[in-house]
Amino acid sequence: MNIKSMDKENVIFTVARTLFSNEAILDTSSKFNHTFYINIEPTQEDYKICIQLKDNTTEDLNIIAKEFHNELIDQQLRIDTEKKYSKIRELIVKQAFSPVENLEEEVKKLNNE
Amino acid sequence: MNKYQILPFKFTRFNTDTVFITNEVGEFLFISNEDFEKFVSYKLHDNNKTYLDLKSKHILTDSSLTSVINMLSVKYRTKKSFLQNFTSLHMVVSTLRCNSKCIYCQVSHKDLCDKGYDMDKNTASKVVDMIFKSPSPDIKIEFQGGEPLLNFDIIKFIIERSIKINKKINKNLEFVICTNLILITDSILNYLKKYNNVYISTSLDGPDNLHSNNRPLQSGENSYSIFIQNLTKTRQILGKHKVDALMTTTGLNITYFAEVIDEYIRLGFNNIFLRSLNPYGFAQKQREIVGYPIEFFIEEYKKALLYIIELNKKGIYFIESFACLLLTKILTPFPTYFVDLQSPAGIGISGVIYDYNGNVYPSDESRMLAAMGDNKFLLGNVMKNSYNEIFNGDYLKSLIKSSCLESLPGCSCCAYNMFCGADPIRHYSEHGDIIQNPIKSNVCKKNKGIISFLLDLIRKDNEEINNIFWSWITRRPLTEIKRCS
Repeated sequence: MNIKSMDKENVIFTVARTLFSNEAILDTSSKFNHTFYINIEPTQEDYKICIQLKDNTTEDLNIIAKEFHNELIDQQLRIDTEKKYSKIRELIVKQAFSPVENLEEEVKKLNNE
Repeated sequence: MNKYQILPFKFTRFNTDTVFITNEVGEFLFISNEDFEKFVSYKLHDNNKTYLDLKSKHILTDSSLTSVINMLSVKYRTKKSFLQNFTSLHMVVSTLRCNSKCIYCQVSHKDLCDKGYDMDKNTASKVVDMIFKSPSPDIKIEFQGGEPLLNFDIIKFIIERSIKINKKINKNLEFVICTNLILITDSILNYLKKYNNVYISTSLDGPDNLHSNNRPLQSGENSYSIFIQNLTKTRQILGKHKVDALMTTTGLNITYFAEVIDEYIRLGFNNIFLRSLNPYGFAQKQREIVGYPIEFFIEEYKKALLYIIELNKKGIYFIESFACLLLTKILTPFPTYFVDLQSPAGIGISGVIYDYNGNVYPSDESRMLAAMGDNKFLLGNVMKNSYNEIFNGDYLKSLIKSSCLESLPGCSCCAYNMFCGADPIRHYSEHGDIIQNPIKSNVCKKNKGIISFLLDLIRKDNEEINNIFWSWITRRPLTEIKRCS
């Protein structure tokens, strides 16, 4: 995270597009946008994120930016792990309600992916 | 090649040092930030205690994936076994008329002398026929109102017709009358006593001043003194175990939970359900008088729960029912069958309500919305529609599809979702959308706040509190739990 500018009402920072997906940025923003105005501008290499205080609120925007970044890391981790393990989850749910015909084969397919 | 396989998991930062991590079936662990980082980057060593804990909780595996999937699928099926039997709770509104004028009334009741709001025999007959089309082996018929005893003839008719039909099919049949007890008489009680499967669910909001202010009578009489008199009589005739009570939290009693709890204990109840207000009926109109921010409810709830735990430590066996439901979900492999904590939601598929005019709604809350003029959740009418049209129709299916936490935005990745439940009708009522917005949702705030509080108590691993929790879950005295531990 690279803080570009900060005043009493706004903090602007960038995060690398190579590390974070659009989905992670949006998921994280949705957790903050009830308290702050969020503006996201994707550039070639970064996401430029502006967090602006809503009326009559006082928050330490330096801390808010760091919290946003931490949440972004967790959100990206959730997305990455979901991608990796969602097929195992699907097999668990399938097997629970309508047993998979050849579970061993299905697991082998997973291992080969 | 990684030396272990990570299984599907969810996590949340529980506090600055600890991560709460859970798997698909709600088995969980608290681990340090450091171990979490090692775990997700495959750097956790197999002689590390956390490694072994994660393995035993099926959050990682270093052996056959097939057998782990098999085991987790059995646990998943157990957790979701509430889906097995379809609708078991059938609520019937015998009348909308009421003799009370509760300040939080959630059903937009009609006055005593209003006409045209009682269920008639023809409708009741169709309702019973529809109830017994449910494939569930357990049928609970719950009479609601208004004040259901104002139309006691229809209650009798439904009880007798149900018992007659059930003689041929032999389901586990129970009846519950939700009544303020004001109109209960020896004659009614002696009739109900003939059946061993009729229970009474009443309302008690605290000692005299709190109860009477929350639940005044239209007649102006003191509701508390009549309630006490009739509670005693009901217990004498039906038996103490046949009567339970529910309380509703309003702005008038929210800061007096200890007094409310003391009153429940004084009257011989062994549990209380500290229920927050629903945003339906008059409650929405009178929110400024009776309402409160959900954050305030959560704080008062926590204090009340600690108070109840202290009472249990002193030897008074007393349960907080919402905590007990959540603890059962957190600490056991079993479902609770409590419709508000289910995913998919229990609407229609676990519980359903038949209004006085035969209209069928998927929950009591949707009936309340209809009473306020919004018929969005009407499933059909017993006089016009078949069982298949109502319970197997596309509309109910679409509602159910929208109530799986596992696929809802914000909920799908929530580490608490195995302990929580979806309530699309509540979300619609609060935000105009059946899909929950976790940021805005009071249900989400309340459930998250209370689940976190309970998890924190579990994390602290206090033997005395653990024993109290298990005594609640297993409904056994604390002394018996202590002997086993």
